[in-house]
Amino acid sequence: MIFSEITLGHYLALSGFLFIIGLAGVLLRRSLLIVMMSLELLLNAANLALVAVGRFQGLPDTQVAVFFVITVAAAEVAIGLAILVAIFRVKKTTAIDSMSSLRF
Amino acid sequence: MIAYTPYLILLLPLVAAVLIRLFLHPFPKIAVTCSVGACLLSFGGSLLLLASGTPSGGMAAPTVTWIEFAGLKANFGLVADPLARMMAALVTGVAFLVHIYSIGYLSKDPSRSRFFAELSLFVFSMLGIVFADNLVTMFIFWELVGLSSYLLIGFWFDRPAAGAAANKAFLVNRIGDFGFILGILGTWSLFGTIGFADLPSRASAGVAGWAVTAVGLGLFCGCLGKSAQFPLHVWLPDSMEGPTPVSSLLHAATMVVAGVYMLIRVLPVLELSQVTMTTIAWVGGIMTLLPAMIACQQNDIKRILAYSTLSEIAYMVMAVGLGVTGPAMYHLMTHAFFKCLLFLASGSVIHGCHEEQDIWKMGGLSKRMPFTYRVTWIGTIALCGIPPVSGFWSKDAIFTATASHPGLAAVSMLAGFFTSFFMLRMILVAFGGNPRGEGAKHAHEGPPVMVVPMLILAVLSIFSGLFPVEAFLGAGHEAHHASWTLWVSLLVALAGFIPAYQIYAGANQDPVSIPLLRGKFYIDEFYQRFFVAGQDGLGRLADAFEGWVVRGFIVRGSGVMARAAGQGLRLVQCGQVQIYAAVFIVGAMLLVGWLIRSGAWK
Repeated sequence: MIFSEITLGHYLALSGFLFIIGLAGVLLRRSLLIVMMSLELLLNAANLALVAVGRFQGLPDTQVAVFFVITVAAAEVAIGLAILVAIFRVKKTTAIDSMSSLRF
Repeated sequence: MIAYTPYLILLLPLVAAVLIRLFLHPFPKIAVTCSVGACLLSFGGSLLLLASGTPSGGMAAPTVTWIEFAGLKANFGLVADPLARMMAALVTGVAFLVHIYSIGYLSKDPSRSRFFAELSLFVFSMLGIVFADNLVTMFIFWELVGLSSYLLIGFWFDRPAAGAAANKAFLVNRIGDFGFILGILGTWSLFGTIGFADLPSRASAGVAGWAVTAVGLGLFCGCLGKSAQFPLHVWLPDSMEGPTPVSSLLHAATMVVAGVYMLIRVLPVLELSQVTMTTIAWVGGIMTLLPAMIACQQNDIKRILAYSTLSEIAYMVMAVGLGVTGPAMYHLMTHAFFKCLLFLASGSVIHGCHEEQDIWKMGGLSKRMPFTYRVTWIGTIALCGIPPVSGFWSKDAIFTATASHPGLAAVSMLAGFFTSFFMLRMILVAFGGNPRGEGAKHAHEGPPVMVVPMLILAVLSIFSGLFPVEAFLGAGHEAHHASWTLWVSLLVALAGFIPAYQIYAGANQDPVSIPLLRGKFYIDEFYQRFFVAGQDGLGRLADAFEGWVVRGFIVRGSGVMARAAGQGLRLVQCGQVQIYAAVFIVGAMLLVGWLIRSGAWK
């Protein structure tokens, strides 16, 4: 039976699926807020792969590392959202293609 | 103690020059005193040296080893043999008188501190040539006199003509010096020594062949440049752009005869080749005549004297070429006195006429400047070789040597004819008749500091023929016997006065005009067309190469390339974050794919 037991392959497949969804969101969505959410999805996909490999390889250290990644991601989101709010105050939009004022 | 005297004599003027340059520049009075004092002390030392020691023996000062490698040993050494002692006394004596004269001549010049510093530098360099005991030391000082000559000709550097003349003097001397340095290297390789003391014994060992001739001619090249002999004589007339005391000291009395002095020093080498000696004698012989002819048609009082200097130095060169050094040094000494006198007198005229140098704008000066008029006559009689003044005796000594060379005797005596002609022309036009210019109407004698040196030189011009130069130098020349040359040369010289008097007495403008002589045989124009033009073309080519290839292609080209690359790469930066992200991801995927494929991911 395929579903009788959850193997490492299942975890990795889910991780890859999440990663592709996140990647599509980052590359294709126009709203900066959605792009940031998609970035979180990418991080979580990577986290999932890491913790799954750690579990199946018997490496408990990876779980600690994942906690660190989550913490750092939280901090990153806080700063990202703050920047987003600041940009919105100036530009009155969150459309990512309008943010090219540094282009020469 | 006496052995160190040459060092003292040599270094005092240098100390003065350095002191003036570093500290005394803003105080002209102290600077002038310092320079004159140093020269006076050097003169005193030279007289002491002249009076001491045996007349024939050498007296070497301590030497310092300077360069030593692969068999070449160059000392910095001074020698005080009779030749050097006599020359040092002559140089410092004339230099001292010219220093005194310059106090008056440049009394109103704001930069006279610089003038006296440069004059002291010159005295130092010239004494270095005089005392040098080997060719390398002499060459160093040889270049130093070239430098001081350059500085002094260009003293009034705000005049374009003075700057051009200084450059010309420097460049023309470079050509001669190049030959000189080849001659020095040749001397070393042939004889294994560059010391004057060793040369006679090494040379008598009997080296012969074309190499000796080449070395001799190379050394003679140095003389051609410094003593302004054909074909490198063109710088001397132009050097008259400098202040008159400079013309008097450097370009008449001392520096330009350094070439003759050097030839006497290296005579053992020259004598090995008959070709060299004949060349020297004939270059000298021809050069007595050509400048004397040119001078007949010049209007600038200093240029007339400059051409006569060329002619007189040529007599000395000719004497060296004939192998008689005693008469050459004898004439060198008397010439230094009377030519210096003539130049100082011309400076007095120029000063009195408010910077007027054209003899046709003078006139009537015999009444307004009687003293200058008289000393000019004394100088002229000495220059033309009329007895009983000094020039007669020294010229007679040279003519005696030419007695067995009829060709040389003929050209040099003909030169005497022209010399008398142009000197009387100069006197009649500048001093006779009526004033023809504003300056001449208000002419006046100079201050005592200008008059006294002229008076001393006039006395020396008359009596210096009595100095036993040849005996002092130990030349061992046989006693003078009245040869046929004495009477012929005297008659020819006197004959020169007759046409000059008939043509120029009372003339208000030049009744004779010979374009070939006015144009100085067009030698300057020839050089201009064939050498200077070629150099200019080469210069322009180099400039074009620098402008187009170096600056245009290499320097600016690399800049343009970087700029173009920047312009191209700028287009990649579209400013869209998502495109950057896509590129990054594609790149990362390609990298990972490549790593997996290459098997590095294990």
